[in-house]
Amino acid sequence: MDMDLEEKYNWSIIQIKEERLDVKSVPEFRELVAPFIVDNARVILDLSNTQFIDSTGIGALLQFMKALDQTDGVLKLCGIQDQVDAMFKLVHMQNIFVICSSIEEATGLN
Amino acid sequence: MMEYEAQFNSDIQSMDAFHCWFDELLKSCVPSDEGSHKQKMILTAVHEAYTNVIRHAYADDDKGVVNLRVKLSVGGLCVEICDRGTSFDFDSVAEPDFSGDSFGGFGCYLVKKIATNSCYESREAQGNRLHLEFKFDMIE
Repeated sequence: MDMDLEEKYNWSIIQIKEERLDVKSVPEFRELVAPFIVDNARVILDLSNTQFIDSTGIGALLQFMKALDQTDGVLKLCGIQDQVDAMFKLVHMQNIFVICSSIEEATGLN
Repeated sequence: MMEYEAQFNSDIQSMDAFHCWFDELLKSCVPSDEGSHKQKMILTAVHEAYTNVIRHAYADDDKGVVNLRVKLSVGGLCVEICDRGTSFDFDSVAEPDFSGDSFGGFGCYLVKKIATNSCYESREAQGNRLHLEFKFDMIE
């Protein structure tokens, strides 16, 4: 799984390149984000390329968020596309994840 | 009534072929005035059902066969996902935990939530069949 990484204003901004975050791609996603689970990590996950997510993908995002939380870190999501937004609402995750409309909003610099 | 059928292997690598086939089918079958959102929701539900077959029905078998049949009807379509793996009690699957503390268990819930109607049958001679009906005007 490819990604772009930018370090900006003490945030690690990860933009994953995969169009689907699902049962097939989740193992690679877990490997990709594992190095970011460190104390006080501040991570923004840009999902603007992710056109499709399934329940396994949502579970992986939850796991990542929980892992960061346990090390006093923060996860924010941005770039949410139509199907991903619909999925979050179907499983009531829109209030569990911190979802921002842009990277600027996520970093607090808009 | 238009009907389409495809077979896929039960290994996870077949997911790409399934998506390619079903996505193209939906684009050609779902009326454009229904919008791409409904196509994506139907794809989502069938993807979850397909994943359940791979992960659970054929949990120890990556050489199983998954049959998909799609029938178009007026105002909707029906999808059947058939397998010869381990059956389960579709109607008794517990409601998932939405608190954020649980990382799984959403698949069946999503299938039932998106499909207009769903019905699961298991017969020893014929295997398992999940029948999903989608009415376009009922998909949110």
